[in-house]
Amino acid sequence: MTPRPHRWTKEVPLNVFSTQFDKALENIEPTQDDKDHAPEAHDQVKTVLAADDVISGWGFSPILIGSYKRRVSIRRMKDVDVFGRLLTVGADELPATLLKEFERVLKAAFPAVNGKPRVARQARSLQVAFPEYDGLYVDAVPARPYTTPYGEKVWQLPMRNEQDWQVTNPEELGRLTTELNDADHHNGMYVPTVKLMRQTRRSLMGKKKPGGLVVEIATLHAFRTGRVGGATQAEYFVSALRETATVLTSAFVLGLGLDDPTLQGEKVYVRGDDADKQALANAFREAADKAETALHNSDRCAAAKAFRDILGKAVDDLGNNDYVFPMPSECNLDGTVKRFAAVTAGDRQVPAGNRRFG
Amino acid sequence: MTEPDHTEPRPALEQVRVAAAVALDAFRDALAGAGFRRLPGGAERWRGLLDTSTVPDLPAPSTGVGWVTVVEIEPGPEFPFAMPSVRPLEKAYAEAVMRAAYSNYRAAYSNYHEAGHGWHRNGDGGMCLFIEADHTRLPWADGVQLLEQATAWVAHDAAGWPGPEPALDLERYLPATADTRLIVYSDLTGEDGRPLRLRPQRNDILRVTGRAAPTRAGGRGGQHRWPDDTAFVVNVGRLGAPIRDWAGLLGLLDADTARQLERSVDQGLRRVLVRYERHDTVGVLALRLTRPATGAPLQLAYQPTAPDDATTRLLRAHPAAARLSDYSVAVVGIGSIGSNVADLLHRSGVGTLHLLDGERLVPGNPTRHLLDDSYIGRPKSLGVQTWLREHRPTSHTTVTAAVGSLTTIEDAITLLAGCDLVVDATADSTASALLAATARNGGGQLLSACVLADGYAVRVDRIPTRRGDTPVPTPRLPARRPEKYETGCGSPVSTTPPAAVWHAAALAAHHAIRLLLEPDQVPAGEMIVLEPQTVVP
Repeated sequence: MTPRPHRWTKEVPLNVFSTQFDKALENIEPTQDDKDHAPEAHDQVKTVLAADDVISGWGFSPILIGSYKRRVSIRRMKDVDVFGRLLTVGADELPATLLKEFERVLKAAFPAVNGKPRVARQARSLQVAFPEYDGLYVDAVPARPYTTPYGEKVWQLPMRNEQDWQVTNPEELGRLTTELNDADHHNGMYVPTVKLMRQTRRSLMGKKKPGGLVVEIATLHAFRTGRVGGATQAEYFVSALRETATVLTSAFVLGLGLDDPTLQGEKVYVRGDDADKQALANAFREAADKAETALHNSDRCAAAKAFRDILGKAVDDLGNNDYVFPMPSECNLDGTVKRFAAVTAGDRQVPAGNRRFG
Repeated sequence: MTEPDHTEPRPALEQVRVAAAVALDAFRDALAGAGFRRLPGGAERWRGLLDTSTVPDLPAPSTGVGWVTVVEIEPGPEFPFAMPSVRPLEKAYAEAVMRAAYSNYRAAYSNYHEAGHGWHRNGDGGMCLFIEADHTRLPWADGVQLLEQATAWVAHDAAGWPGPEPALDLERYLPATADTRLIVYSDLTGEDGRPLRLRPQRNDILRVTGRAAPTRAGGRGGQHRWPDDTAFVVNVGRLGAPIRDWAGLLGLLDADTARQLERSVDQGLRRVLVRYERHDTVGVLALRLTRPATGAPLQLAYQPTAPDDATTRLLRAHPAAARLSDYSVAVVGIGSIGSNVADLLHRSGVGTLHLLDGERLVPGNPTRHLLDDSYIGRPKSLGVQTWLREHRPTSHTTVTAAVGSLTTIEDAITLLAGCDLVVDATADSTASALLAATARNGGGQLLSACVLADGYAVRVDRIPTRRGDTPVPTPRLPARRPEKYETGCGSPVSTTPPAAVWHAAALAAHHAIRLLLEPDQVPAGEMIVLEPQTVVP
């Protein structure tokens, strides 16, 4: 996308709420504690795995992946992913073997606390709990190198049956994120918009699947249509909601599935039942309708209330669950307007005017 | 008045806060809408591009559509009541921070304009915007208007500022010293290239006095050292751009003076008084030099200065002070009104003042009189004469005074004939009647001034009036209040409030000056009713 010159007009026709969107982004940013703990937990798991002879013998070369790595995670950050690349693992090693070895090493290093095990076997990874870090988890997943029929140098993860492999390319998702956000593309608007979309999902759908990654990938497709943009965060958010709703509807209501943007010809495997997937698409469509109306609403306070409702709540710094989008100073919480005398350019603030002497 | 109760919610305060927050929100929205992005961390700052082709009727480059400049805008904590700062970025920095957003722009549309460092930039590098505007209207509060103004700034800067340069002080372009003492100087003509001494005086003043002498470090044969109170005077003549650094200052001097100044700096000199010309006036910029580290370039900071000479003082007198200095005025009755009339005419630059009064200042007087308690017991006319001389020693007004009263026709004729105007501010009916009768019969020009009915109204009358004018009608006055007497035997004391006295004195001084300068334009009199409804004490 070529950046275009912005022209401003005398009329400010849109409710762009720069102050409020900035604050909303601040309110969904992972806490400093989470930001501090994530790399520490990641390092502990990585170090333990690297010290094991069997795993290091497979050419263990871990990297950080996931929303934390892509800087699109939102508060509360629940997990960090260690992508355990095994560069020299034999082609005949089964997924089950890899998972078993990871489990052996991690269980030994992270024993149960007060009878509660810290390491749990997941479908394709090992989850290590860090109760001392306010419930943060690290997901360690073994991966082996793989070249696709298109010649893409990517990776394979264990499948749920622990017999077969599933292809994946997490580094490419990171690269795409960085690229879309850079000054040659959306100049810093992509990452915050993804965060707002993830928060919208959390606000509208709660803990139901599909999760944040699905919404992030749908948003990425939405950006690639070229129909997401604008000068302000508000315009980005509203247009991204609309286009993402369209992507999700196509994927889950029309049943076309969600293309994997990191692998040619592949679809993203999406967890959750069909009803929940369709509910997600519908919720985004309704949110897009509501947000578009709000952007152009002549009643600024009602508009702010609409954005506030879409973005919902998150845990604040004091541990309370609070709305992330603050109401503008002139608005009451119910969307009505407060009484005050505005200070605007051109109004005389001093009755006697400017030719005063004193 | 009762103390505000801080336990109660204060809706007014809250409303002002809301108003300021709403104004800031709208300002941010305007910046965001113009493609500006807020920078992370620290004080609130926004960065974006100004493109002169987006605003109609601005100067345009010979090639390309317009000029572009990247700026950073800081609304500041006092927004919207104080102006935001708008700082243009240098091209290399702008390219680095804006990357493709800027370079595509440049390739496709425009030329980057590297903002100049002339008169139109503040000391902090910000653009001088809204210099002439009505600041009470907060024109910058509208973000769109601010951006347009800043864009126009870029276009005019790129076009080399056709039109007159702004009348701004050089101090605007430099940081201030920590030393806030005011440097007061009088005529510095003939002192160029010389070291002068700054002598500390009370009220935190450093007065420029005579020549400074160096001390000798290490006895005879040791090196000259300039004491800290030495200032070196240089004259840079007519300035084309503000002085922003040491190299810039040296560049304005001839080779000899520059060498001499540098040598003096090596010998410990740390102050320079720079004389310069702008807009046909001569200014003086006081510079303090500091060297943050050995070998580092000298840093400049300014210390406030103020000229102290008759011209400076007359500038604040009456605009026609030069003409007024040709006239003489006698004030009869140096009571509360008369003393203040004399003071105002003295401030305005009347050439000669003659003060006449037979009474002494008593303790009750200073409440409404020009003189304070230290004059109690002195004749009022002599006291005011002293007061005027002591308080304005550089004034060109000659003040004479006499103790006595006007009791005969001869006195009245002599007084009226001996000056251009007599102001009658006495409550002595004999003197007033004599002066009025004499003036009415061609003896001279009289102006009578008074407060009516203890502050009900103030009034002046000219005698004689212009041909054909009739005097201001006699007013219907409110009923008399019970009179008040001081102990002992004497006339009742007027309960006229001090503000009414000042009002009458100001009205009298105003008419007196007009009678001197343009007698044909002055009506028969003027009355201002101060209390349309009589105040019940």
